[in-house]
Amino acid sequence: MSDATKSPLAARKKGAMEGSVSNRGGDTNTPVIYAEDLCKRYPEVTAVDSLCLEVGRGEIYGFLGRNGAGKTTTIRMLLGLIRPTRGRVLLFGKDVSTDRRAAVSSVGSLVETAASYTTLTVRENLEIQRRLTGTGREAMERAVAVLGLEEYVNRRAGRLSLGNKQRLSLARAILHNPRLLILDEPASGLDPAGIVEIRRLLRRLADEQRITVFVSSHILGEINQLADRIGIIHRGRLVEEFDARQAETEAQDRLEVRVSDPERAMLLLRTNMGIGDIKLREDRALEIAGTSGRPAAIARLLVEAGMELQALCPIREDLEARFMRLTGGEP
Amino acid sequence: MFFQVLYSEFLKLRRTKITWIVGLLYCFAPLALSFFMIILREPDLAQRMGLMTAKAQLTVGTADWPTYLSLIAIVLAGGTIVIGFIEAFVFGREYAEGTAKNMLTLPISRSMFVAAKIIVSMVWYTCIVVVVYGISILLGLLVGLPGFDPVLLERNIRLCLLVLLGTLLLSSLPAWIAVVGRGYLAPIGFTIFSSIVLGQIFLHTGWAPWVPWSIVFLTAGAGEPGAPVPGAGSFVVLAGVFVIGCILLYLSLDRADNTQ
Repeated sequence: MSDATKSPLAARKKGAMEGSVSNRGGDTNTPVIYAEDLCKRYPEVTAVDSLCLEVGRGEIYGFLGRNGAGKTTTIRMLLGLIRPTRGRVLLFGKDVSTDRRAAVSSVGSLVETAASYTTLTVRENLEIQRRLTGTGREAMERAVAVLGLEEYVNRRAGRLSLGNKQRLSLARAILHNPRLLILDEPASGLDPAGIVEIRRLLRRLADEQRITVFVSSHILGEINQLADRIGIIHRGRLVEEFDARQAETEAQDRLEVRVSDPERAMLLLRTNMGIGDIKLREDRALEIAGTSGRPAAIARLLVEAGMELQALCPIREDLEARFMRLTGGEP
Repeated sequence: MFFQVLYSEFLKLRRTKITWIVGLLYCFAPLALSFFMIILREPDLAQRMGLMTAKAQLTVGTADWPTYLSLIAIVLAGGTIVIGFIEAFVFGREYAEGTAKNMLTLPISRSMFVAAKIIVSMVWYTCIVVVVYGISILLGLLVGLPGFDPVLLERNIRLCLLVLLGTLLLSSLPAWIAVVGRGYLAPIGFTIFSSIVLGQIFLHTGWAPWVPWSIVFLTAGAGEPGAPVPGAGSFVVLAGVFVIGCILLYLSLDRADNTQ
């Protein structure tokens, strides 16, 4: 694990010390989302703790976490719905606490559940959004077409299926051509085809229009296939942040080793090779981290020490395993 | 932009059954009043039907226009409950339907939403009052009450406008309660408590001209015989309550955590 992935906050501080704020995929020095030491405390719980975020233009940032991890609280702070106890949020360089209107002027959002005025039709719901964002009528038609809502435009929102309600909320979010989309569980309620459509839509918006997408979810597969970068939040803290593509392709540096005398093998690996991160599992197999480029040396050491090497294989850690490891579940 | 916010707030009322339900329920008041006048005019008939005793006639008055118009004013004072229900709907709905978060993430000053919603509520309630008053006068004419006098009607219209003003000035507090309570129940409970309990209890005390919910009833003439007439000071109290309600409303929308 690199320093950057070990501690995003440390990485930020390092970047700041170097005098630059990175901007992945952006063409300016201003990150689209910049959250610094964000903290939200309630009397009985700390919902978000010292969270730092930086998302550049055109990037799709996947925000993963279990239920109650702090995803929605973070999103609400990003949008100025909740005031942070500590820290600050800048959207397009504008402080959400002090200059909210300017900060959210180019933001489309979907927070938690899809919500609309149930007695109004799809068109009327979008008409309200259109008027309040000063957008032209053609944008409304485009949003309806993009989300496949043509046949429902005159139907009352209260009579839509859950999936179509979600589409309506997404149409509302993209209606005014925002430069940033903040979406909380956008696939909620959608059928598998709908999930694919939304994923393609978000990908297209990011690739073609360089719209930044900040998307939270607890569905790993959805984030894995969509995001450029992934942040994992657990108990209010951002425990890891990594490049999704890089994580997919990078060589795995964890090994599973089965030997005749695992306790002695542990000792040998520690003393002779300086490997500290070794775990003896219940099935008597050794799990060794930080072994990149050294499997042959490990095998040689164990065999030369007279041990019977029964198995030595890399452990492939996918997003699910990584997520479970970081959030305290079994891998 | 304010016009767009205002338009949107009116648009949100489209097809809501509650607008009609509130209006229709309130329209039962003049129907009941005119029926009451018939009973007063025909006490023998009413007693035969078991609707009213002879004693009741003594406490309410006689079946004529002065009595009828004074009762209309008292009915309109009961609008303190109706305006509370309207505010509960206009503000509480955003939380009940989960649309508050959509509204509050728009790049629009939250004070605009407060102003637009208050205006919409006031227009809605004023329309109801105009309809109720119009129906009341029509029914009074249909019943054929004696003693109609245009001067009396003009005086009553002025009185009812004053009652309307007082009622409208009480609209911001239930709106604030709706925002703080994140729904319908809290403002409805507050309205019932403030109008029926507080308003009626203090109406019969010397404090009535200074208790906001009693002032409206006192203005309408619902107090004891010889009760003080609310003056400018009472309406300053009402204006103060309105301003305080608006400030609390704005602060709750702008400063408090919006977690729904």
